[in-house]
Amino acid sequence: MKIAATLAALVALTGVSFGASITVTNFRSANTNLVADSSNTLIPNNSGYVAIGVFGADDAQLRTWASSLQGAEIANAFVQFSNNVSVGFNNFGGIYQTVISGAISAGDSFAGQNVYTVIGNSSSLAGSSELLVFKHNHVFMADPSPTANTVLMLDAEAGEAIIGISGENTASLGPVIDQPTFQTVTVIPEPSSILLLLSGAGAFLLRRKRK
Amino acid sequence: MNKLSLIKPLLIGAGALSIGAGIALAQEVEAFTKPVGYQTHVMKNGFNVFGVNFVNAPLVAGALTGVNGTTLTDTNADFSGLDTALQHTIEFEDGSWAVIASIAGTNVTTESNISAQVAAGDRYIVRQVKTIGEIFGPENESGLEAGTDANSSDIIWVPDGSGGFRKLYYTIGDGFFLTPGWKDLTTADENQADAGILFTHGLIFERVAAEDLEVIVTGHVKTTPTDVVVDQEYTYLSRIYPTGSTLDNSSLVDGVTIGDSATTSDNVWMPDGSGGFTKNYYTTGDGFFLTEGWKDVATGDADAADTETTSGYIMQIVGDTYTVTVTPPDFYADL
Repeated sequence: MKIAATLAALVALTGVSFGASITVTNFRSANTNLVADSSNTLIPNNSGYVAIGVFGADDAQLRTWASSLQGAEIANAFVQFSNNVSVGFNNFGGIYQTVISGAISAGDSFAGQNVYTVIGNSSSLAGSSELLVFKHNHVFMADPSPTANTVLMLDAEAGEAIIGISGENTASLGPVIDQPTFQTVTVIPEPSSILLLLSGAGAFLLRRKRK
Repeated sequence: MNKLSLIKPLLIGAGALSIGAGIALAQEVEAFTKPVGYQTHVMKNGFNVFGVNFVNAPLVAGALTGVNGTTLTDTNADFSGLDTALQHTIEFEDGSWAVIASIAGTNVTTESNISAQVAAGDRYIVRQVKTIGEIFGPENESGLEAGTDANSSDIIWVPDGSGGFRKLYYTIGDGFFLTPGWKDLTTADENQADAGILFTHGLIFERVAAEDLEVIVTGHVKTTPTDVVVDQEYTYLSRIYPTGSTLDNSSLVDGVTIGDSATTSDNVWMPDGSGGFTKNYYTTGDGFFLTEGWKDVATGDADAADTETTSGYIMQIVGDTYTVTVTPPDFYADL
């Protein structure tokens, strides 16, 4: 028989955490919304980055960063919940399904905050030049609701794409024909774009110097 | 030498059911559990915490002749008949048990090291762990809501031992990605009918259909104590014993953290049948309002010792993790 320790009392008074197990998916059989890149090419099997979490910035700021290609700011503002996964289900690209588990404590970074799914075209968020940021209608729930955290579906009925293109295009995946896609968009200038900008700036400076 | 013993039916609820042996016995056994029975669970729309309070028939029984770390030996037994594709446990009369990791002739190797609890001469039995297919039917004979994917199917949440859950469901198949059968939500189309459900695990039945579902679970009754590991802040546990267990006679008090109030004591969360939970705790008493004993958070100082535990419950700990030996009601000794 054990007597409660002071530490235990403190834990009880300062809030407790619950091991949430959240289904994260875009798979709904033949009604699946696929994930694709900006050219509407499906993100291949076992590639890409899928994570859930919260942002330390509001949606307007996220959109501004995306439109000004400040992907690093988006990545810095993202607080990932537990582990991330790759795109892939049954060896198909374009779809994902997993269970992500972790603790959510009252008063932590997650409890009560809207859940975002972030999908990148690389295996890490920092390495992704294209992102899809989807805001779910769902919020992370802390204890004591052991069943509040359940399914996060990539679906227009379950939230909205803050960064990315939703429902404008379709793609074909195996026997499922022409499913709607959620597409990532470019959030980091590509090297060719950077070179073009640099060469333009260089030419401008050279011209000013000659004058 | 091992001998075959008669199975004595246990009356549970309205009737008794003698389970036919669906598993080939590796050898004749003298088991220290014999009764069989059934139990009906009503699953309502939403989340239902419950436990499978039955186990499979013993496959091998005997007495250890040697213990060396995780290797347990019975030179009088042959474990090679066990189906290694399925999960098995080895159990002892004092409550010690372990999942078997591998089998080699007269040896079994356990996943956890229980050598400090067992010794040569200790009597044991080996069972195959009940599978999701055995509990609900290999082709969903229990009638769970089965859709074309996980989003349209009832889901069974199984503790993964790390505070999370694996999620199992039965799909009718979608003609594209999924064939009909039991699936794990994370492993796509792999057949999971043989996924094991340990007898100490409490489960969550996530019912997506609006109407209630009656699920009948059958099996053998475990009649000996059981060591239960409470290692998560919220540990989902099975009652293990199908009837007669109370807060008091389960011996939970031997493990729980005990304080002077509900907030400084471990809480036992039991589903109330209406989507909520009752919470009980053991207190030392506070010298003012509470006397020592089991209490219900909602009923002040009333004695809750004889509160029947539900088939599955959640143990919320406020202090250290622990292992507690849960005991069956006394009358199980006569079964």
